[in-house]
Amino acid sequence: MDYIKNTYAEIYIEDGILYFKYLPFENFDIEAAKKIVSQRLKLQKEVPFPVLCDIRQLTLPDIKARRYLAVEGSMLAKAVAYWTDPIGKEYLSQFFISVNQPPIPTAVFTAKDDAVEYLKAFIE
Amino acid sequence: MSPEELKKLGKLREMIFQLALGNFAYRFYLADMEDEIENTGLLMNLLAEELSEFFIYPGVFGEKNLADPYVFMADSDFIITGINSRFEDLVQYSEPNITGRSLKDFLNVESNTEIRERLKLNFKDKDTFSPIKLLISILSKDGNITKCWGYCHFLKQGGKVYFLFRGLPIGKRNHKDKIVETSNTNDKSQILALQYQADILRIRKVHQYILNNLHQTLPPLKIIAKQFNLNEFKLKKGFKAVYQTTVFKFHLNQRLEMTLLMIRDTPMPLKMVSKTYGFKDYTHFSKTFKKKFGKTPKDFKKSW
Repeated sequence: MDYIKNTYAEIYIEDGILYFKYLPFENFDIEAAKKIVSQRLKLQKEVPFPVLCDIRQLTLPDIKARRYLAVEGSMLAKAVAYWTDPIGKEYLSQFFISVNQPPIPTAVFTAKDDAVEYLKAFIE
Repeated sequence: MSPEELKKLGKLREMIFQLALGNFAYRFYLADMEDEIENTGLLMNLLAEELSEFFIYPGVFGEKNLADPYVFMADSDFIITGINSRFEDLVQYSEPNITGRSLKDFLNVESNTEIRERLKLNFKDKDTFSPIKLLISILSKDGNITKCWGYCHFLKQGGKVYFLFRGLPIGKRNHKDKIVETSNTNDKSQILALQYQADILRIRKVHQYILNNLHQTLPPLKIIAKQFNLNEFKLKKGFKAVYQTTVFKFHLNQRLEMTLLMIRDTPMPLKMVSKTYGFKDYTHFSKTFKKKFGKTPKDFKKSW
């Protein structure tokens, strides 16, 4: 099955890209981050994908959750494109990338098409 | 600019002042994430969180450890309602002779006046929960005064309000564990402080380097230190001080945590997991995995 929807996110794989859409929920702590990563890994089996992460409805993760997402959140991800509103979470994602420096190519986009275009280079 | 925006800008400035004062627990109140000023406030909140982790007092590199904090709690009439054993040792009274007494018995006159004014002023709005930074002089039974800085938190319980103070002595401990006052800031100490900051930055880079190399074994510490312009001693001591673990333990632990996820959440064969996270052979991986999680990877997979 290539589709999951739970309290935290809606995740599916389409045309070689993993689409990860955050849903609004309360208390984005490390426990939530662990569940989120675990669900994604289960869906991916053992296959790495480029990930389009829709954070338009993202709840602000706390510092421990951010640290976890930067490292464990990069597992089986070839690259991550954050898709955000121009003002809303753009600064937040830029802050996350510059402070936590995820070990895989990561970029922020305000248009979905641009994000997909960026990720196409990472599809095998 | 509207009066509302001016008010928000004022709050943003207050946040900057608080950070400059070292109050990393201060937070900008957020109501509307789409607002440009509030968005900057959000960034300031994130910055405060990062700084509170980043801020390490210089002594950790040379001293054995950071002293345990002195903690006491007082009610709204400034009557002490609770203490920790460090505070008990400091004031040289036993616990029954401290709780129930007025805070003024354990502070010098100036500190007593200042702390009361600041607490009343800062927490007059009962919805304020950001702690404030205080410098206080604690008076012991034998008349000695110990200067401490720390945070005072405002707590509510069952309609009552309390102040919780958690502070550390100013200065550093000498070998006999006495508090030694630091001298006034001079050029030398400023240079040293800058040096410590630079070292911490380098140590954070080593941390990042480890995270980027979880798929392979690390070179010897000496080589890593050289690569980041640190000496081996500083890297060892500094890494432990900042991350409470050693370079190699951190590297191993991080890899083991990730192998656990791979085994639990993916069908990847165990030998492939071992290889992916840079273990030299499966036997070594299996042993270290069992040591950490109490089960071999094979048994763990079966049990899951």
